[in-house]
Amino acid sequence: MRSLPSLPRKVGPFRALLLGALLAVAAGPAAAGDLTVVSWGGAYTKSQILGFIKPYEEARGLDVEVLDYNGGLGEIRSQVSSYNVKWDVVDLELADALRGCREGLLVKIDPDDLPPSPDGVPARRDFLPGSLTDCGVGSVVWSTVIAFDPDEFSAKDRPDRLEDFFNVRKYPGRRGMRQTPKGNLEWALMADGVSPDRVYDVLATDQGLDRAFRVLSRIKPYIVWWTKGTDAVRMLRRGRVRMSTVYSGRVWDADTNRGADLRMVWDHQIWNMDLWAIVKHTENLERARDFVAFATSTESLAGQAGYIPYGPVRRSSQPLVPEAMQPYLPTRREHMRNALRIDARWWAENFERVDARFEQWLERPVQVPRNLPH
Amino acid sequence: MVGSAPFRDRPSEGIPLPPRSLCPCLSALLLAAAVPAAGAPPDSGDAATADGGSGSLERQVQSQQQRLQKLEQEIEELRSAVPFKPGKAKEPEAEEAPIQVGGALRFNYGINDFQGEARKRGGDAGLELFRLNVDGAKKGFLFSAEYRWYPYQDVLHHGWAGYDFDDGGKVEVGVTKVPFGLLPYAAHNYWFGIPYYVGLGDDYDLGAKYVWKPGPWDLQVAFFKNPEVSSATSVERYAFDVVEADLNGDGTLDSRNRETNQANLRLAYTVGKDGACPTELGLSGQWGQLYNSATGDFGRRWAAAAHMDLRCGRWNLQLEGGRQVMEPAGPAGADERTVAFGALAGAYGVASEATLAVANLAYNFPAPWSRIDVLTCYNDYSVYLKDESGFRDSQINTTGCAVGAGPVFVYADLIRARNAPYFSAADPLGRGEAGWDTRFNLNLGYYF
Repeated sequence: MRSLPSLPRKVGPFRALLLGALLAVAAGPAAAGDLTVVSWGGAYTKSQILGFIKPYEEARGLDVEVLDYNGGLGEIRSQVSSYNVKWDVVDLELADALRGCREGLLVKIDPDDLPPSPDGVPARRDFLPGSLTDCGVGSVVWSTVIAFDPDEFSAKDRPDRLEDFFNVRKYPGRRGMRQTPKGNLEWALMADGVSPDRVYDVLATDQGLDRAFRVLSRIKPYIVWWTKGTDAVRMLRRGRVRMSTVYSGRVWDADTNRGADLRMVWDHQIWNMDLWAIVKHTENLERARDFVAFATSTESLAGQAGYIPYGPVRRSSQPLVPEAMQPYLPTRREHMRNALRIDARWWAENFERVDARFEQWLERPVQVPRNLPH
Repeated sequence: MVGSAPFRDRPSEGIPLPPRSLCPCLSALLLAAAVPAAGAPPDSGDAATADGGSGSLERQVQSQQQRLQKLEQEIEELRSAVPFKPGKAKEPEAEEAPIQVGGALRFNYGINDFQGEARKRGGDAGLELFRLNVDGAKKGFLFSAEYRWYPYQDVLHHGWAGYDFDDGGKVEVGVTKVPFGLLPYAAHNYWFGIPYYVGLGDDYDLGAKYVWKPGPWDLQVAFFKNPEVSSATSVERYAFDVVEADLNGDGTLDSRNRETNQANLRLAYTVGKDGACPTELGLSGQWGQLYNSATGDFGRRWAAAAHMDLRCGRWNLQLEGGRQVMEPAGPAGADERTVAFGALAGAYGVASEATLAVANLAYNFPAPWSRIDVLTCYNDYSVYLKDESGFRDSQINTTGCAVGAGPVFVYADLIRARNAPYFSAADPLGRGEAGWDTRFNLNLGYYF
């Protein structure tokens, strides 16, 4: 937290109040809590607040400020490089956790500092393989699926596989997609017949990358891009798109808590893992370490899963996930039949290159430009 | 045609509006507001103390859940109050500078089948223009200006100041685009079509315009006192207006009208705005006076048009049908079957009463090479059907492609025209007695 200058002496009560208010404003959002935690917003953040942030505040008597972001490392990079760190703990995708650690943007975390399971299993053995990295501590397995509003389709002819999303002849209408190459290129290849186990081999070649972009180009005129998980659900509910890629937990939340009736297509779901990471140069390092340890305890992860159907990455948490959530978990056997796990290491190594091409592809207009230069 | 401009040229649009999106910190603030409440220790509240035990905790959790849901609903409502605009999945960027300076340097090459000498040389190439643009937006105030240097004239293309209202409305005062028909242009190609040459396309006049775009609607209301140049005898200007000119070349002004006090109304509705094939349907009306300096009387000019602009995937179909009627108040016996129009340092007569039609089809190709950003090909057709029985119709058909690669933009156009300005006809948009002419035109621009 930034230190505030002391008030000058002999300041009247009204002026003191005014100055105090001004200084509080000048201190910015970082001054609003004892710890600033950044996550993805919407139902996901809500599940974290109810699952373990609130209990953490109660247990430690601290205020945690929770901010939303849309992923990526840009803001973290900017804060670290300027030594003006306002975010203490960030919920990152695995690829960003690996990349951020490699770039020296994140603090290393020793798994031995994490609490064991209630029956004494050390964290190193209790966490699923790959969920503990040098700078990140895994929290949940989450998934991106295709979702649609059943009212938009006849009962006999509802989409039920990934290919339907890319088939605008059979299923005309707009498609919502997250504005990132990650996941979309994999889907494009799988819709074009590449099996999940070969996706990254194909994507690693120039021809494979071209092929993925070609498939995406076929539906580009119909794509409405989203950046926040809540936007995908909102576009579906408002009929702005006919189908959308969407985080599975957001669909559950919309259907369960918001009176929506959206359906998910689990075919070729893409699952990923989120991790907690601590931003380098934070002034609240010890508090941040304490928070990460608390947030990734067996009880905390199970607590979160009570509010959103994402699978905890600790083995000891899984039996504690409420029975009602089980059908929605990405890790359910029938949902994993042809699922693809995001290859975070591949993305950590290739993201910059592929994203540059994706951005260029994105900027090229699909429609005839209205403002050709004259 | 009196005088001639080797090349003609068109403008860029006004400055883009600042995006109207929610303050990015809004949801964060609302969530942050929720957290301290959600995070209040259970034993610190009266209810918890009174009830005690796990039942109290459950109730409190439920209460906090409801509170969070309420806050999220509020966020949703606030978001729905603001037009949704998907942004890039990128981290926050630096704020745009309030003033942006840009411009272009363009060269043109052309070869005609009706100019023997030039054809023998293999056509002619030369500087077309250098232009500077200054655009700005700050705290709702907007301005935009463009000045152009041609080899044969220096002109203000447009220049206006405005204000962006919170309800989606905008006002522009100064030399601003006349809202009529297909916008921003009634053609895809460099050369443009008939509407531009008869003062009903890409025209800029001096006045005030109000633009309001709620959802699929687009309403534009404007009043123009004068054309962008107040002197009716000066033809050094970008867009074609009614001017005083010597059309028959006898050294005296024989068409002595000028346009003044013009009102415009344009209403458009986009069907399926968020769908795969948004289609704009619109109606435009223009009413104005023609002051005749020989008699001191006012005549009138009106025009009306209906248009459709369909953008379906990579296809774009534009249709426009309109009517222009000019009734000058010239001296008795004056030939008023044509009225002089001037711009680009030249003037010609335009038939006083005619029907206008436009049909343009374009396709935007996926870029075949990584360095190509835009590849749009088109066929633009337009015709001016003159009421006067002895007058022949004017037509322009342009087939071409526009290619953009970074800051470089090229138009390659094959123009077939009959009785069109800058082709072989002596009185192109008036009597018009020429046959079909062909021109290949290449325009190369560097935009910065």
